[in-house]
Amino acid sequence: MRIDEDDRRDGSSRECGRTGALARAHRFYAFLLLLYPASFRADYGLEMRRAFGYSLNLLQRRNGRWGLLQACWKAACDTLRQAICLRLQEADQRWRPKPRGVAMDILSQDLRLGLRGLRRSPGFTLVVVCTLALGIGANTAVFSAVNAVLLRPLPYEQPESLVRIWGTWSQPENRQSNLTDHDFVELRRHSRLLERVATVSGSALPRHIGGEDGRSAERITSLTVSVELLPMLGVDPILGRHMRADDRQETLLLSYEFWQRRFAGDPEIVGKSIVMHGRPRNVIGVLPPGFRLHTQRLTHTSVDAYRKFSDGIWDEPNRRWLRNQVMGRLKPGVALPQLQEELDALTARLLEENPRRAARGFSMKAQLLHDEIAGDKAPVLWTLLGAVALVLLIACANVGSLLLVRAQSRTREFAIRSALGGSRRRIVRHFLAEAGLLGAAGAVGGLLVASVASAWLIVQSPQSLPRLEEASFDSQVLGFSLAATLFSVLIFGLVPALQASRTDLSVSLGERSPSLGKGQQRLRRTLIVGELALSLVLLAGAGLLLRSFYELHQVPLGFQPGNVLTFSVSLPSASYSSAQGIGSFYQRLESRVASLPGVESVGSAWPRSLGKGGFGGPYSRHRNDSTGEARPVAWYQMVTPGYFDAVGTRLQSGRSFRPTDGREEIIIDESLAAKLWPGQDALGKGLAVAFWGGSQAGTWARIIGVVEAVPHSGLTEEAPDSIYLPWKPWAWGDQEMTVHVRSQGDPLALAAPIRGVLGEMDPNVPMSDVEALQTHLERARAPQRFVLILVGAFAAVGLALASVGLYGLVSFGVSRRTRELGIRIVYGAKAGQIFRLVLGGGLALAGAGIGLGLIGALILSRWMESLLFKVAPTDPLTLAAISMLLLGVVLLACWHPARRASKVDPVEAIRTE
Amino acid sequence: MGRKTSLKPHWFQILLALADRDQHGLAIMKEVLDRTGGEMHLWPGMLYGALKQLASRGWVCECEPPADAESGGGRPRYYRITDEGRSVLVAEVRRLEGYVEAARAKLLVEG
Repeated sequence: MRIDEDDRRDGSSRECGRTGALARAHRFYAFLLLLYPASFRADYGLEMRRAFGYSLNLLQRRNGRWGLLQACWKAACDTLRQAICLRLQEADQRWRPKPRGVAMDILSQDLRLGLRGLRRSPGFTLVVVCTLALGIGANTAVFSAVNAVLLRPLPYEQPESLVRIWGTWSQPENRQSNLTDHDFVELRRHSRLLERVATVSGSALPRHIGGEDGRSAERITSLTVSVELLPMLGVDPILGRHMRADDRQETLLLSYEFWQRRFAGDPEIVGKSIVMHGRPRNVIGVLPPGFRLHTQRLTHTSVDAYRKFSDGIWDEPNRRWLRNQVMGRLKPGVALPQLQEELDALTARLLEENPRRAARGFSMKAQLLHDEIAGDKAPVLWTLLGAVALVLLIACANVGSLLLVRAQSRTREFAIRSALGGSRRRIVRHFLAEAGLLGAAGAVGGLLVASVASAWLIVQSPQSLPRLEEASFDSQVLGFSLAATLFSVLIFGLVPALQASRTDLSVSLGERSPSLGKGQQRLRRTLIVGELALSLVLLAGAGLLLRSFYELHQVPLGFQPGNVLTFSVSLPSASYSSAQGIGSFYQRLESRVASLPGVESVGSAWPRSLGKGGFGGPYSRHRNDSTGEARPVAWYQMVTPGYFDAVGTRLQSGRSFRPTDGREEIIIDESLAAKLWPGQDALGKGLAVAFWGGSQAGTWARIIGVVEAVPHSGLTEEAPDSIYLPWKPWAWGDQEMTVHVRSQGDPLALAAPIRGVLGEMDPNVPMSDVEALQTHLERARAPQRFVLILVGAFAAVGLALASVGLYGLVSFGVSRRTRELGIRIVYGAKAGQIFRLVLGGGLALAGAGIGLGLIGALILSRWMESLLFKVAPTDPLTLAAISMLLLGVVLLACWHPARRASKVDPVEAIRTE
Repeated sequence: MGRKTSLKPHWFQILLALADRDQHGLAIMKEVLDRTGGEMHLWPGMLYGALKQLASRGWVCECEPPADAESGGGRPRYYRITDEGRSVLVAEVRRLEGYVEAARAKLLVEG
């Protein structure tokens, strides 16, 4: 009866979906199963997972989250025990058919002995296992991220032959861009080395859908892709078909997730039409679950629907629009340099048609798609992996040092064993068995740590790390963690084993109390010096990052982010088609929001600052620029009259925009003013602004104001020269604006009333990306903060381990030298002298560690130069501060043992010996 | 069967679970958990490791699932106690009985 009930519960919880912690526990157990011999796994794996699932549910029902942990821990212990036995049996059968069982007996005896020994000193075991688990776990977690972002091939067919093609410009400054429709069409037509050429056109745009069956409107993200793209990636729709060249532009492919969310997985969806942006679109298929289009710009955007691209090469504005992220697939046997040659030839042809481009040094460059996506993220991840590897090294040194002491305290035991005929090999094996057990327990703990840490990493990581959400414990990650474990076991296990086996019998048996021999003492000192040096390297890294982060906070923002709410509004072009209608909508919105209680000022901008898409365009000082020379580029932003007040950008001179201002009025920032008219007043001067389209020369506009510089394109980059234009609605495409509202109190409290206002004005216009401007700013700082937190945490762990190790070494030294210290005191040494003696010993080690560490830091910190901001990797101030910090911690660690030494009672000391 | 040494407790429980009917692993685990009031939780490694060893000693064998068992993919294996297994179990029960008898006799005398 009870079993049936349990069965039902088991089944129902399975149906509920193994989400979150439960799913992680299941994955964890699946990895544990890998420890079993393959044949056993094949026979019983499935059933064992079921049995584990049952136990998991049972314990979770009983003890909640704690039960989950309990179940994982028990299963891990169970697995460890059984897997080792089974593996030993298997090895025994394979290698030594006769005499049966002897090898296994010895091995299992070793293991049993080891286990017994460890159980006898639970404190020691716990410390070692936790240290190892931390080291291995942190390494595994960081490696899983490195694996997902950098190492794992892209989830497409033959990803190694996929390339990305860029436009590059050398004038007026080096930069990279997308390609025009014309470039794409030419490339597709003329390339002989590319099997297929495809494009993702524009960025992922918010679109409105809704209206069908009276359902509420929703804002979704859609992307325009060329017909070739999905077949090129080897992605086939699970329902319906691919786009075809003869399809009309209104066709739509849905993402699996969107299909599930909006249409509950309706199997009849193909052929139906969806109202998107006010126009009906025909659904032709659904893409497989989990499909994502990876490019640097899209990597954290989930796209709901894909529209068909049609080139606008006959359409003048589109002809010049650098909107295509062009990709291609190399033909078999073609290498990247060959393609580059072809691209160069093609570029030459394109330049003949367009000499203006030649003046700006245009060319095309090919890059492997994988490299493009991983982009500049490699230094961050390798730095993290390096830092975490140092932590593991420190942990190993610490454990090795602990094992040395432990081995020493058991010298007599081993001397007796040798005297009774135990061979040296046996003793080494005993040690290795113990180390292996510790390592195995550490590895299991490490996997637990890693599964938690990796989930944390995914949540905490800045959005700029592509594909991190794919991080999982695949065989590569598991192999890495196994290698890390083996490496640690060898490092910390072998050295003490060899040392102990070299024991001199007569000395050991004759000695009354255990002590470290000279060689061992030296070895331990070396380990501690190494630990201190490694900690210093880590601390130096953390220190440099901390200074960079500080510098990042010192960047003049040119706006006041406190108390500002921002949100985006986009008007569907179907219902807002006239410039007048759009203009009046935004005017009404701003004035109604401004009249809400608690609102100080309101202003809007397009595009937004520190956002994904910037808008750079050329300008000229000459009214009719016919020189043909490359024109300088500025950042353009359209703003409404209240914008500068709302974001808190100060006006240096002149005035802000008025509603009556038109295309002939502009505001520039102080850096542009200083560059163009140094020492003069820019007010009243003019610039040709190539923003509004029209003639090549651009619109001649008068400068009516100068404002503070704002680092629009990112905090780590210099503020671009900026030109602000009065916002004017345009009558094509969607009309997106980011509205900024300065409030008197908590800005987020305004979100609800504003949503109410918007709902009253038009319920079909949703309000999106609602956040405080401060949050937006923090996001821009997130990549630096992420690395800082991680490296800082690793440095803290490293320092803690090293100082505990040092403390242990010094106090052990004191207790070993009690007799000697006693004799010194008898012969007249003062307490202060003894204190200094002990402290001096510790400081000497610290000095050596700091010296070595500084050398290491100077060599290694070069690697993280790209992560630093306004700080040199050899910044003397940071290195000095870090050395002082380490010295301080060393002093603290030695203080207590030194005081104890100075208080030794000589009579007592000599008597006890 | 002339066995002098005691049977491992979880082997005993597994054999006992199979004494009256054929069962699959999970069912054995549930029965043992129930019978021992949650005292003995046979974790998967222990359970299937033991089943493998019992099978290699010829004390249990795999058998066809009963007619009323669920069918389809991933169907669990069923185990049946062999004659030899049964006699080992009986011997163990006798041995335990002996201890219980002795304890009873003592408690009666002294209590």
